[in-house]
Amino acid sequence: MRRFTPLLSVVAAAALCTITGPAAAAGTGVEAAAPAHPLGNFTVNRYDRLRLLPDRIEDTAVTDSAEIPTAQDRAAADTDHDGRISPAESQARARTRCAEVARDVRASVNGNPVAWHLTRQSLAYSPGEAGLPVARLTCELSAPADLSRTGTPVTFRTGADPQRLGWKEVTAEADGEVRLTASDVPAQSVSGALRSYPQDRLDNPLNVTAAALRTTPGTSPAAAQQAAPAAPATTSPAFLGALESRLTAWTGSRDLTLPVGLFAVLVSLLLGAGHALLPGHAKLAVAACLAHRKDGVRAALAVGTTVTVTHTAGVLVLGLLLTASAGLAGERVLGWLGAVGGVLITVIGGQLVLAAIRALRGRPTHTHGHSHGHHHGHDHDHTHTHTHTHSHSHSMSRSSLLGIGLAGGLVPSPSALVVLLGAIALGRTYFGVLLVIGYGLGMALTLTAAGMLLAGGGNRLASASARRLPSLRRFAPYGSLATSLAMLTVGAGLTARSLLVW
Amino acid sequence: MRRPVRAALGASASTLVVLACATGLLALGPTESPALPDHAPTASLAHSQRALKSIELARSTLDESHLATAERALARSLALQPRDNYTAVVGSGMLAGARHDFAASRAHALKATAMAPDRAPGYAVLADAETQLGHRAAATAAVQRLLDLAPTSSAYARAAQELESQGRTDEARAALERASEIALNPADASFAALRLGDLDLETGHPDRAVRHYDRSLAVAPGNAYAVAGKARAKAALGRTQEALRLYRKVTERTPAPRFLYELGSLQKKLGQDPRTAFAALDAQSRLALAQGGAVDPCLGLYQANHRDPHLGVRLLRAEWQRRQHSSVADALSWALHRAGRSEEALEYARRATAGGRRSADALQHLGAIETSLQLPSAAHHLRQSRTLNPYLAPEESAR
Repeated sequence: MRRFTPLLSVVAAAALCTITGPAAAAGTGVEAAAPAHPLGNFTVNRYDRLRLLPDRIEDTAVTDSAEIPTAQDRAAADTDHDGRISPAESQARARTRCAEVARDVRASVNGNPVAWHLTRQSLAYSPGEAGLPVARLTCELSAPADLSRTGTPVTFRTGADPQRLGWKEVTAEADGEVRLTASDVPAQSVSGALRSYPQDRLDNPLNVTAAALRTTPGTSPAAAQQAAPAAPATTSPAFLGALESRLTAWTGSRDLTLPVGLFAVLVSLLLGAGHALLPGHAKLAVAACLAHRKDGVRAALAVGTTVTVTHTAGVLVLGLLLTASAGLAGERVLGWLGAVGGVLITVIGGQLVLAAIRALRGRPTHTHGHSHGHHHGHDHDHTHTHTHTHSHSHSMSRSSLLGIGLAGGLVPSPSALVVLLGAIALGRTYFGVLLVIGYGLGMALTLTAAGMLLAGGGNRLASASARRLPSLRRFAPYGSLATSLAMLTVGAGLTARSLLVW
Repeated sequence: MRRPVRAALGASASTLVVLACATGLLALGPTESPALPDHAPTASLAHSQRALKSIELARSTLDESHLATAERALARSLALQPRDNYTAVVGSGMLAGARHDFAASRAHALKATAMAPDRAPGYAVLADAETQLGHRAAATAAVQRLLDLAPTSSAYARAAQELESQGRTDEARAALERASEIALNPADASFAALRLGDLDLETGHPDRAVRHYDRSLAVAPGNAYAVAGKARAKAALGRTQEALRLYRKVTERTPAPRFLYELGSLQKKLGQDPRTAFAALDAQSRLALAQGGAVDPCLGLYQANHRDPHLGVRLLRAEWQRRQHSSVADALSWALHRAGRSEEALEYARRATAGGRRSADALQHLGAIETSLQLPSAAHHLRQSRTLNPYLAPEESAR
């Protein structure tokens, strides 16, 4: 058989085990063959259509029962035990059941519960499978409510048992003098009020038993109809997610043309840039560049390059490992790498703290040298401060920068890994590698840009303050102590997080 | 002077690392795109996995409409990747099993185990199919292989069932306790606890059974089998009001034959009106006759005890054609006995207790049938049944 991406096949095996577990459940099993009811012979389906008017709320609650629940209910409806449901019996049964519906339905306007009363009810049977009837109960409820004020919050609960098998749907629309300004349910039923269930949703029936709405007086019925379910705000993570799935789709697309390929690489650059903006990486760059105010541009470049190389290498190595051994769980490795990265940052942070403390201890000398230098003018002073800073960070300047970059790039972004493994599974390894490199480059661009921005700003600030407020210099050692402490905290946090995730 | 050299060295070293990784990947990964549509493997796998999810849903909710979805997804998966599609073959076996077509399920499972003799899922399907078909030795072998390959919670649960069918109740309990200990997900944990409850209930420990069912419900709230099991245990303990409440709850949500049958029987025993439950069982019988599909043994027992024993025989004979499981043998023997054909019933009652299986229900049925045939072993079997489960109320025998 073809090699699947190892991550996926591991998941598949796990899923199989849970599924096959209850196979032997006590000898009874699932009924077979084509059921008449599209949602199964056991289901009781419920649809609540809400209409909001200036002075009241109306709820049309439809209950569509499949063959077996209908049989259960008919036994209760057939009060004279003649095996038939007379119109009087069905009316009586409808009243009883609608009274239960009215009792269970809950709504509140402005936080105050409303009182429902039944205005009409009907219970109709129609033929189902094997000559067995299916039932449709319609209860029309109404509750007085004052919706004449702006921004009135309305909440609604159908009271239907969510564990009961079946479709559960709520819609809300406003009529006349009321407008819906917010709604988490649609205005139109997707099932045609339980008369035509959409084929593609049968395996995953709707299970909506509540609605949260907000109304405002107004005469715009057209706008009211359009009060679609509140779409999630287009934040950048959602945007990145969409890009990500697009990229995965391209990787698997049947004909990979050159334009599509180039565009995919561009998108991977963008994704990498976006990934670097996520919490964790940016913080690292900032911490690194603050700790190395002296040589901002070069530090930023160094961090960026290291992150790119380690990230690309990390993803590729992990991809290699996962391809070579199917038994390795990807998440586990990601967790380990996260912990290693965290420890690395913690160690570097600790070193910086020690260095800062040492610098503080030797402070009098430095202050002396500093004030001395001040007499000689700007240029000299600047050079002097330069060497001064250099002296206390020299021991770890290069290696610590490298370490920070390493730590930042050590945890491969899961999306890059998915893209790579997907490409490998499709026999497009080269393309996957290309995309991963693009990913790393994008990350490096963001990190370097962010680092340069901050470092540059820091440098200018430093020299400006040195010129205008010489006394500020005195606090510089405390500043580096604070930044190195911050880095220590970030490192410890990262370590703890990746350890806790297990 | 030295700095640029070191920088160049570092840069070339890191480039080398990246290149080495890329080369390694290219060497290890498949070199050319498959002849099929490029997205076939992942898409076909996704379809199979969707099918497996649907089958799981059908099992946990007892809602058979999910099986139609599973069938569509499997067809799509197999259309994309007709050959070497292990997950789809396993899924087909599970689907056939869920539809009680155990011969087909076994065929798929055999195909899967031939494709990948060292992958566990195929053996799980095979074990279930062989068990249901009454192939004792083959079932034992499949369970053993499953345990060797992947000693997971569900493997131990299957082993427990195997041991139970051989009358090795204590070992079955130990296996289930192990299954419960090593369960990695709520579904497995709740299933192991559920089976422990069943085992305790069948061996005369309803109090312990309640605790196991509660544990099962804590992990999988509202699980119909656990609620019904708890109801049965409560009824055995004499807490009939609580039992009725639980039965009503479960039959309202999941009107499966077994739950309806137990509720109706209890109501009848207490002199209450069982019409709601029995009307639903009548409807199920009509559906079973019209559709010709799988028959829950409890539906046959309902017909045998409360409605039409001849219809019960007819339904159960059809199910016996599909699978020769001991639970079907037991129900069929009782329906035959109630229909006045005790001679024939004896054969099935003996099969239901063959291989050392110690089921209080089946032994009680065997004893009653033997009594009506005036066989000397009747007293022994009735005593065995009582020893095994003193809480089991004797069923109304044939007139």
